[in-house]
Amino acid sequence: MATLPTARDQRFSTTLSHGIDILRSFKVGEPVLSNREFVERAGLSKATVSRLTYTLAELGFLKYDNALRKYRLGSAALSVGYPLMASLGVRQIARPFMKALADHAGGSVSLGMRDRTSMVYIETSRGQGAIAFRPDIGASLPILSTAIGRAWLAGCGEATREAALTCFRASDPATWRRHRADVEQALLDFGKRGFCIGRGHFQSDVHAVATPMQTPIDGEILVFNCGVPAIRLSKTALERDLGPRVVAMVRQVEQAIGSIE
Amino acid sequence: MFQANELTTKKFMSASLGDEEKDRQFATTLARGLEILQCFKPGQALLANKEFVAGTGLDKATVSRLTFTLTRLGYLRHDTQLGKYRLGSPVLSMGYPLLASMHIRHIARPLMTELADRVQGTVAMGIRDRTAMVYVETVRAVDGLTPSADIGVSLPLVASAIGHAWLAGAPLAERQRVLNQVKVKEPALYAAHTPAVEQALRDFQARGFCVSKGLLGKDRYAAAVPVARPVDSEIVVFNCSVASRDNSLQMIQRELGPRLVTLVRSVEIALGLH
Repeated sequence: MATLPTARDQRFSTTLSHGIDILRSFKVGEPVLSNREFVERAGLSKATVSRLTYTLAELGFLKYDNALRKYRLGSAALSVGYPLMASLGVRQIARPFMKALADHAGGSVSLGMRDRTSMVYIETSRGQGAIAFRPDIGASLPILSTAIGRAWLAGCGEATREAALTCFRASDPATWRRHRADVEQALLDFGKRGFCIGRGHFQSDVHAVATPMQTPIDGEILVFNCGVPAIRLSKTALERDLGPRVVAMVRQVEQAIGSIE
Repeated sequence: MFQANELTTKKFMSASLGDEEKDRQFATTLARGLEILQCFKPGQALLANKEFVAGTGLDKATVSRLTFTLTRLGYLRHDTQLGKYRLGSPVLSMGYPLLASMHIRHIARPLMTELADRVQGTVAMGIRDRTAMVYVETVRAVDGLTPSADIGVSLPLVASAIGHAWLAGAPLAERQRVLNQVKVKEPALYAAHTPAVEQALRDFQARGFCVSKGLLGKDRYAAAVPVARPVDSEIVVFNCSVASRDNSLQMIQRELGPRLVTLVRSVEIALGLH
């Protein structure tokens, strides 16, 4: 995010950047796009778009749907992230702890990593009877408006936090103004409780608690959350039960990692 | 390194198509940049410019321009202490709109869970990624900390039950085209597995599923079945693997294979493919 190219650096390859923009044009709920839609979204010329989509399709990053005459994401877009996923051993270590908490909560427990202005799920465990299927691995949740994002802000260290917040202020002032007060309150609450609470900021019927790990993994602060359908929760369940439990779980995961390393 | 030569393959393919107009359309810089990202493999989380040079066959100046761009965009992270690059978190979310759009995952998941619990194994669903199969959904029985069964994992097409079942389920022309790609890109692998592929295609004709023993995880057996018709223009394949025991092969032929066939037929009915 802080890495957006500003100056026209000779070394910066615009073609590569534009090609990646094409891939990022897809959103959940919009799985097929036409060249015309890429033109609108990426702000590139028709000729450039058709050259990029042709190339991406050749490489398996896009797939042309003959019936719809539009593009879908190709499977290479999925597999390219796997080596990173596989390198995060914390996922395997945390899995049994996450499953136990998910079962207790009747919801889902996830582990997230920061991806520009979002948190992306790198592991998800659904409890017995949990109905929600999404979000799961690979899903992105906005930092400013979710418990997991605010817990990342709380745990990432002052310098990183200031840099991230400065970026939000500059790149999306409207969103920043909308969430500023809540974010500041969340940081204060985190200081008192050790976790952040989200009451349906992201999905209106799901409430969540989240807490960050204390030490970075490969340079990144990872965050765990636990989301439960609001209808299943008593008024105080988040503060009194799930919050402390998610904190206890993260301490267990940290110990387990410590004992392995 | 392993992945190499996507470009060489590409050039070969274009040349063989004799389609010069299309070749001019090809954005080489974009392809090379993505090839840099694809140099990473499970177990190789850190790579230096030198290793990208070896992996892609590109010169040092080109590589350093590409790694510079990818770092600016967040797709690579430079570890200044080690002087090497890691993949950046944006690669994790790149494929998510694809995953989220696959309705078949929601339909199949309860059936996959039931089968995984019953056979104490792992059930996965995959689609083809060039000459590999990539998992788009996986369910493990409680036992398993099988890290080899994650969403996003790639298995070589010619060396896995799930890949063999893809070949069995693909239209003949597409099967041939993909086998040719393997032959060009991975000649040794192709030669080593051709007899097994041919056997698997015969087995599929006879039984409706493909079986493999220890092709990847040496201590596992797997059965695989393709969905009868393309879903969103992809041939989707299910596999089920179990830790090998004395009677595993028999168990797979008699029980696991047929159960997986039943699962796939149920998914097809739920999707309205019949």
